[in-house]
Amino acid sequence: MRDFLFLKFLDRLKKLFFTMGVDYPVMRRILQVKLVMNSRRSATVINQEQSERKNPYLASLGIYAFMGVFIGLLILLSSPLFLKMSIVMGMILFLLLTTMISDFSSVLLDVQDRAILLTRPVSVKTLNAAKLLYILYYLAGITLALAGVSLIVGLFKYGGWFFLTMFLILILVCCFSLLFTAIFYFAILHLFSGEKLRDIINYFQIILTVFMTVVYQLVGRMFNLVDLNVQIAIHWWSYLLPSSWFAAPFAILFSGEHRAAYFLLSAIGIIVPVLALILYIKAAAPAFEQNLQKLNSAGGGRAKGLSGLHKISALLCANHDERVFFEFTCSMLKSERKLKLRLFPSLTLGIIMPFIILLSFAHTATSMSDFLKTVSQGKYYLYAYFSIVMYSTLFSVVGKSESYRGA
Amino acid sequence: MDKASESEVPAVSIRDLKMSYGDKQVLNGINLEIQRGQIIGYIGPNGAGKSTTVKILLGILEGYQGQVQILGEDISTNSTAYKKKIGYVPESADIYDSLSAQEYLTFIGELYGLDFETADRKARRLMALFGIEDAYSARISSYSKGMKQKVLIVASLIHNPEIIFFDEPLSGLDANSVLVFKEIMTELAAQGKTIFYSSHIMEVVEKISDRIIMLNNGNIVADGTFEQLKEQCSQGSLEEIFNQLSGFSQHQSIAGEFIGVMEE
Repeated sequence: MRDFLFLKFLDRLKKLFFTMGVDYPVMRRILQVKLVMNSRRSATVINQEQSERKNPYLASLGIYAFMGVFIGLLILLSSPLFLKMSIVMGMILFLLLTTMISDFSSVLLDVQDRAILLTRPVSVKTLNAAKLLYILYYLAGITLALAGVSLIVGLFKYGGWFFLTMFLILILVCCFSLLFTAIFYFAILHLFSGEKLRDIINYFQIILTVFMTVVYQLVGRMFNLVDLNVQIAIHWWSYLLPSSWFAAPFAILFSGEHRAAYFLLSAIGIIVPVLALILYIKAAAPAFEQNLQKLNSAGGGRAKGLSGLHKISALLCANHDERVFFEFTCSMLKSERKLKLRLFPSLTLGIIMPFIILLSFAHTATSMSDFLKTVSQGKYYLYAYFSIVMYSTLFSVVGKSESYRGA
Repeated sequence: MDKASESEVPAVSIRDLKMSYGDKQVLNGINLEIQRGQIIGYIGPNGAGKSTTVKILLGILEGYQGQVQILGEDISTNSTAYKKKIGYVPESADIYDSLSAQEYLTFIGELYGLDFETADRKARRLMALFGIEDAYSARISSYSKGMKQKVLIVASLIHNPEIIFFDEPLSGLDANSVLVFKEIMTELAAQGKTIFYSSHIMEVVEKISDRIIMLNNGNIVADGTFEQLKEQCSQGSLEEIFNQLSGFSQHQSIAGEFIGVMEE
């Protein structure tokens, strides 16, 4: 089995692990196996079939690095630093959180580890240490791929201190996204059980994907983009956007804007991850494993009447065969989680996006009627067709099923 | 400890074991003493608490009440040392199937404290004896159900354990491998190993078990050799005893109704 650089690095910290009561050789072996499996896991960023030899993890890192180039180039813009960094941090956070939730739920919500490893002479502490290090390795890889270019561009444009500050803030960002995801899953696990829980997680994944995309849109529109030199307005909801928490320190340190709002934002940016860490260690982590067991237990499903569906299918379909397949497809759409995770965010965004785009033009209008006039007489109404552009990509997804063998 | 007193320590000793999930009581005070060198047939209807007991014995389920000792050692002391003497074939094929059998088995072997070379050599030879040496370095995800089962069996025996838990170990195995496997079990028991055999196939349990323990609704409802159970229940086969003890007698009327619905 391959010896990873990361493991060689950990070998130097061997003593530290021993003093913490972790069985280092066992943990190292578990990590090694995890890393090998990670290199064989397919990532959601890359959709096509993977050949056996290729490493999908490295390939996905390549894609993140490519996106990272564009994020990094934003720093070269001449707009105010707070604005730039808000967008940069917003994008990094957005991409980190989406990968954490889509790709990484399998690691956080793993129940196999318990059955395979804890039945062997492995202590819970050792297993948890291995899991945590694995997550950190994964996060660090993605963060570096995403932010690497930004770090280098920042180093050349603003100097070494900027590089260092950004590096530290990225660590905070990592902690934040990790803890956010963990606490988020914990909360759901705590409230629901069994199969129901998988559904709920699925819905939350969908909602979160939509939510993050919308927030991501808002970050750009947080400021009045018409005049770049205008005083940046900080609204009350700016305090709710994590991207502005992490951007504020840059404004204080590197463009000398000592506004109270920036200090407050920076403080939130430090306090929230720390609070999350305390909450996680004190409340979530001990109960997490216990709740994970719920994933294995089958909840009592309730029998649902299909009469409504029958009526619709009787209306729409001409013959018996058609009706059977219509009902079959409807039931499949209802229960296939992966498919839903791909379909629903795009469907919702297709509805929301035209409004978001139109709203960005709204501030030029003086009144509602004026705005409506602009839309109806100008060419802005064409944005309504944006939905169709978004939906057209969905056709390729509809034909796919995660349990195609069942047919 | 000298040889004589060591063999007197029971392999497994369970005292007043209770377990509940939320407000649902799964085990209502189980008492068991199991001597070494026996094959224990561990049976019961679905949801009787079989796998819960096994999970507690393996130390992956916490929050139980009562005392559990394995080879004289209390398992609630947080020590993992006793797990080196246990082998386990899980019912749900829990396995890292993106690894090859070689990677998986050497990994498991090393967790049990073997070095890589020993684990590799033993795993390869055991796989060869099961007739699947060719697939040794192929990924487990490409295996058939029976091959996966063989890997799970090898993984549970590679470290020469004292107590072995088999949960439905024959599923997917072909008839020849089943013969080999049964022979292995008898031989292991003769060497003084203790085997917990849990299955729904009553014919097999009836034939191989030295002692049969039956669970129903979290209680032990039968405990003894097959002959003893037969006397108690005045039934001919373990299947019938099982039906009687779990209070199930409507199989004929259910079958009749089933066919009735089919023909509607």
